Amino acid sequence: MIDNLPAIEVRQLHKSFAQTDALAPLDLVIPRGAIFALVGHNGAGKTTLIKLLLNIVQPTSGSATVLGEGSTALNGASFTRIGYVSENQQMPDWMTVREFMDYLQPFYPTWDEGDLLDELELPSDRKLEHLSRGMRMKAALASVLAFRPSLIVMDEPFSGLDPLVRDELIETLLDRLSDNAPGEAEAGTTIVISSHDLAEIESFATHVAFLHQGRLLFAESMDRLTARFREVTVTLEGAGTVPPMRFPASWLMTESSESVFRFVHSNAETEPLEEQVRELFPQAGDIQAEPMTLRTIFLALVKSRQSQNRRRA
Amino acid sequence: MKQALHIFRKDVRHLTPELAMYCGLLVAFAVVTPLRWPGASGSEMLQMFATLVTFLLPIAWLVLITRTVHEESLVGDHQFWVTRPYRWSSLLGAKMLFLAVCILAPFAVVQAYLVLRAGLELGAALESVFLNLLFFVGIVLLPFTLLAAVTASISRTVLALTVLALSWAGVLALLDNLTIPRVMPPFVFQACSLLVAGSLVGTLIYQYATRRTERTWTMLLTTGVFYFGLYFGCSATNLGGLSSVLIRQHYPLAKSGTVSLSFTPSASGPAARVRPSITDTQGMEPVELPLAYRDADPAARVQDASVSFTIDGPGFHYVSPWRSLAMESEDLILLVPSSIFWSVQGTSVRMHVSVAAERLLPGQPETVKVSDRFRVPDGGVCVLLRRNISGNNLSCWYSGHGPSPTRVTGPVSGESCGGTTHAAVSVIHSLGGGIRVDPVAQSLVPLGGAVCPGAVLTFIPYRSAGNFRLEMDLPPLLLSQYKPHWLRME
Repeated sequence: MIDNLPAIEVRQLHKSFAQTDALAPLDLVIPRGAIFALVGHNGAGKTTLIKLLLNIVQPTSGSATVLGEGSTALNGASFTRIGYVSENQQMPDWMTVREFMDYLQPFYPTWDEGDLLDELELPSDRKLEHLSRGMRMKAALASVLAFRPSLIVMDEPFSGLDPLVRDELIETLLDRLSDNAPGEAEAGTTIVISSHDLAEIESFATHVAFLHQGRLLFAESMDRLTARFREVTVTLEGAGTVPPMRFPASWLMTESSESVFRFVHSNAETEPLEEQVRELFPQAGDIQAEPMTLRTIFLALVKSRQSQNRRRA
Repeated sequence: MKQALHIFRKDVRHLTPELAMYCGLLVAFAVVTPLRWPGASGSEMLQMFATLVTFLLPIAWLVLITRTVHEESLVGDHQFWVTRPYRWSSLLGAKMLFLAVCILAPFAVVQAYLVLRAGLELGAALESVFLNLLFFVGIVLLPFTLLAAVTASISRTVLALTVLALSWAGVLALLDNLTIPRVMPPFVFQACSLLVAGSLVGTLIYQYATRRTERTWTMLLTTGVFYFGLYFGCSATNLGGLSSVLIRQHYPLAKSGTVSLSFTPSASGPAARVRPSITDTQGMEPVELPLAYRDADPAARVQDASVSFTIDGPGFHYVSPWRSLAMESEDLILLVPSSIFWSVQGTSVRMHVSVAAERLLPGQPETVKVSDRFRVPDGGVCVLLRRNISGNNLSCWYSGHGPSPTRVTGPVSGESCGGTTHAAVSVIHSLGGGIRVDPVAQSLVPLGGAVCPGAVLTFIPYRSAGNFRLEMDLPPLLLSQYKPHWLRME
């Protein structure tokens, strides 16, 4: 029964500090077993959303459920199923890696670290305060993977890490995911990972949500997203510029030069792209529709939104 | 409990250096404190060192308490433990265990050691040591823990403590300046202490359960305002008459034939006398009434006396609050608000006076032969000092706050032993309340000469014979006739 529920469900969740909206009211559903990338610039509201979900801060309004529990009701026992790794987390730096793991072990009935420390090449006798940034993240990740949580929430885990360490972390994470968490045999472990670097999560995320200036631009599966967005280049036969006209709402970032018209189609999966183009441009010759990277999709959305705002202003 | 022990062990391991320093400080305190006792042979430097150690103890408590609470800081959102399976009750339990085992227990051991070191009986001192530790928990451990629980760093804890202590002192000074002290009704201090302590404990639990620091601060400040409100209510108002009711309940009307008041006016008015400090109050006029207190037993004494009175005249009725009363003279000095005094000074008024006090009767006298150090009644020890202090050489030590009032009589010499002796008498009083870092209270017995080895002293402890209240209607009088003599001469 519980497995049918989403891992996280957010309803009109809103957080403001004094007069500033850190997070505009948003709705979001994160399915079980997803690797959910929460992306956006620094200050977009990713960390605030994560802290709201984990009951580290309390919402101004709205609600969220995490693994079936109301987020504001999450307590110590809830964190036997939820792991949290953050770049800003204060750790007991005076402990060695081994002491840290030994200290945490009695808190978790499902603790099974196996050879995690070796796998992550962590020096067990070194104090946490003497670890490099990458090593600290590895230690934090090890302390979470060891209890096989149903939900892992990672806030900017790769920020400032060199590519080698980042790949090691991702590899370990994905390896461990292949072993399903107890009781999660069908759905698997859910991962929520925030990042401002789109390239680093593109390769393994199954779902993505874009946050911009405290607002959720969209949230959907990577498959659907990459199928939806196309960078379209239309070669126009004959001279002359494109006259001002009204384009379909799904066309973003339209621009034209002497004989070429470019735009981003945000609904290429469901709308007849070529028919739309030829209807508006009877002189259209070659029409090329290229898949887009996550980064280019994000940029197209942000720039389109900015130009909309300028027009409204 | 298992989780609390796990966290406790971690705290002890991490704070071992601090704990070692604290224990070292306690050992130093245990060693040097006896050097401050009268008659000790400690040099001036050692005495200064002992003072320094005593001063360092509260700092050590603050640091240790703050460090252990901040091991899992409740303020902020970056702590790793917040997203780990900590139960708040276990966390709070671990911190309480640390305070009890690592801070309170060593301090209790040192207290017991000092009691024994002074030659006092530990069994007899247990109650006062326990009370002292209870004060320590209420005045030091609980407030320090709460402050640490609502601050993010030790510097902020110190800052908060400084601001709160200054505010506390400032408000108390202001209230004292604005109001004339009134008698605290019975049980109000105890009830108030319980309420404040309960409120602080509740606030601490709330903070651990919710980590809503802003709300906890609000609760903390509300408790402070409540305390000051109550203090102000007791010292500046009559608590809506409740104060008077409580005092009257606590001090029943005296049985006839034991104690009495008599009004004996003389034609010449009050005799000239030294102005007591109690009359040095702005906005009040002293009135010296020829009211004499008598006890059927001439050996009986009173303590904690207080007085209240009413004045009735044409078109007005005044009820005074209960105020402390000195009963050493034949006359009673009452303080009447100047506005009342000047408006009725030439008018005949009726007065009703109520006096409440505790009656003391002498117990069984005990004679003790003096040596360099000798045991005395009420579990005390007296020592003969090598050097006289203000002409006296007898110092008596008790655990906690000392004995009930005890009359001491015996022969004393002049400056040194060997000369002629004369009979002398003195009284050892209780030594005040509050927390005592040094559990051994010392009292110099002012017999007015040197007590010599071999002399026999008689100790008469005075025991409570119950509370009483006397009520008296005075005949019509003119207040102006009872202005104290010193005022007329000004």
